[in-house]
Amino acid sequence: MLKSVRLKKARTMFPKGTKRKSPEDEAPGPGPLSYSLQRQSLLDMSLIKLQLCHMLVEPDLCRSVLIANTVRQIQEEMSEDGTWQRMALALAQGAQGPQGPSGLAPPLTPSPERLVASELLCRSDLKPAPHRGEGGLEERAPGAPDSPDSPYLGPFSRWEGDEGEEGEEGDSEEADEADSEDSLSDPEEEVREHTVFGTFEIKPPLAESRGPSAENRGPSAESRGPSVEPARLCDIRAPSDAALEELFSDVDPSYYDLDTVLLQGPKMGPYDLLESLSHSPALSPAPTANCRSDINELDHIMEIIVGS
Amino acid sequence: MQWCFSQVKGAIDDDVAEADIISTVEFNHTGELLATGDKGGRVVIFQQETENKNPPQFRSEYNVYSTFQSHEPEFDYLKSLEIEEKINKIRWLPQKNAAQFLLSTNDKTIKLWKISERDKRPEGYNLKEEDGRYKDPNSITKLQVPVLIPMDLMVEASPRRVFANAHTYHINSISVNSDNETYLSADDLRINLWNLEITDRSFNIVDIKPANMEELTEVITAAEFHPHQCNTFVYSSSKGTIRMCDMRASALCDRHTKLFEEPEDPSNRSFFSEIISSISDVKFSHNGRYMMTRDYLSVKIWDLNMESRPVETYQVHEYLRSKLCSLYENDCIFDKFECCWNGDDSVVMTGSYNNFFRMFERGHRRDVTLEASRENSKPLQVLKPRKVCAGGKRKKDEISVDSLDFNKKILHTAWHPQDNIIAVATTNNLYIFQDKVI
Repeated sequence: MLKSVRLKKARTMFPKGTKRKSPEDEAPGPGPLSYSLQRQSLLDMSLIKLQLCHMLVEPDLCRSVLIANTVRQIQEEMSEDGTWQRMALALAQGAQGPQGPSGLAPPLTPSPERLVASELLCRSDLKPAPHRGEGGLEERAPGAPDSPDSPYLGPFSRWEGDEGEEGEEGDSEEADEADSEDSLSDPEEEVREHTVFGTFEIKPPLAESRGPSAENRGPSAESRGPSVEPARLCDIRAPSDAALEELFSDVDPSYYDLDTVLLQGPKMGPYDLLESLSHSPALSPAPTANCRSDINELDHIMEIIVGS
Repeated sequence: MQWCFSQVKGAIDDDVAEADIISTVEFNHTGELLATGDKGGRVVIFQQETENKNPPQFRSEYNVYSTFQSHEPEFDYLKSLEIEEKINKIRWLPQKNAAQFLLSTNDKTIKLWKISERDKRPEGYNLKEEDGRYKDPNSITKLQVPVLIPMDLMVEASPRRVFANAHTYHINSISVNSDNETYLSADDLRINLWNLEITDRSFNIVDIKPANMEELTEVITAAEFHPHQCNTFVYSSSKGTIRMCDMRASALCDRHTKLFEEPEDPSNRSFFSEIISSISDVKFSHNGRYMMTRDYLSVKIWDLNMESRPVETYQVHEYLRSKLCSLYENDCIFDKFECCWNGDDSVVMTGSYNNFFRMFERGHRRDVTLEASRENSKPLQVLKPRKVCAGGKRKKDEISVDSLDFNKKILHTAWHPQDNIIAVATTNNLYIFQDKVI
């Protein structure tokens, strides 16, 4: 019963197309429960938008900044009223227990996958990477190298364009971490962990200071450093279909229709990619930055886009 | 003031080709020329007919004057990303000689184009035949002076300067300075100052990139030079602030001279407050005393001497405030609407959804909603004011919020610098309206 109520809330929050079914559906129900669900839905939607904006054309930085700020606001509010801490606790308990339920999650407890997505992405914004070895899925922020020289990377690292970066070196660092993740015994958990961060992980820039850009002031051409960032599509690891379905179990599939109508363009909309990911074979993870494999996977993505 | 349909340019069929999507519209300084840029990287310039062969109630029509491919798609091999050829902005230079000059920009590269007319050609060369073949020198017995004879008008567009490789992020604005020597280009995080003659270097005058990109919370959304003071420019941000800078104060204008920001209304606070406060366009008034900003739901007019709050605020589509969540979901909340002043700064105009556009008469506190549609496209047909019903009982001729087509958005509008002629761009059509004479 509660589950169906939740679906109804989702439908009213995100009405299909532009025509409403009935005016009664517009106003969401009163009370703290529905507000908290709305807020959670908004958080999920924002995370999806952030994650899926990396297509073949460079995404809009302004849009990403605004979405990330919204996520931060939600997270702050959730921290204030204790929801965040409760979620983190539930996540810790869920991670130690068996795998997340393959069926539909109980409506009052957000699914573990959602907790992973929310927790990890938001932690990256506000807190430095915790020390590795504290164990547990929730403690580890992926893509955070241990070496103190490499700063932690957040959602905007992919826009680090103009300071000098050495791609190959960074990628092998990343590969080493991925290979030596002893704490994560379950490969599927690792896959889910990278679902959110995969598209954000960038090689750590070498000299992250204002120095180089300050030197470029005044009457000198602002030259772009050799920013070598192959398309991050190679880092997208398609989560298991069950996990993906779990994450979006209460998403009204009519959203996809809405977006195919509204989002006209050769690029896939955010939900098109979701569909293609869940239907196409999982992309093979590329632990080493092999340019050829990048290009092969790029071709693969192109085939999906062109095919759909 | 009543508005009539004058012309519509563009394809009629509903299936819009991606490349035909209009991305910018701009009149030149006399209003004789009207330029549009599209997603396919093309610029189309329309010219107003000078001979007024028509009866007095017709204003002269705009016809195609020149079409050229300004930008081509590029591929950034280092980032493995496409650079779109979409023209983000066009700005005309004031005319100095017979030729016209405009700046057009995509995400990364600005180009200066010269548009010149050729209506004479030389004839009577001594060494060449009319078709260009060289004559046999032995056959030449006398000398003649070549003469210029009239020919059909040919309009040529040639790129005179290419200003490239100065922007890491996407260029959102260009603005020509009143000194006619320099211009600025702004991307998400930086603003550069160029000399129109020099392409291999630019001065960086604003840089808001944080040392650590993780800390990025604000981007530059628009920038413009003051129309008369060549040392003054403003730039707007995604947090709803406008900063005015004086280039005489220091070479680097990271510290603003003035900061324009309206305190937030706590009663309207929501998770979307910041997004809807993001300013999508900023325009100085022609007289240089005011500036106008456009955020998602409103247009604000600021007195340059008062930073604390705008002097006027106009609601464009307040009925959308209760729909912000849906608009966030379908990404419409990120649409960047532009705004413009009329010639004497008494009226401002901006676009909305459902191919509606709004005009606000400042002195009389009047506003009107009009629609650009093929149905209202009979010559000199007077546009009927439209009304959106926010809730409750819908009156006849009103349209309810839920019936609005959010695919049909008017993002780009332009007003003739002297006359009451406006250009309104729907997705792929350009509508020209004029006020009703007589």
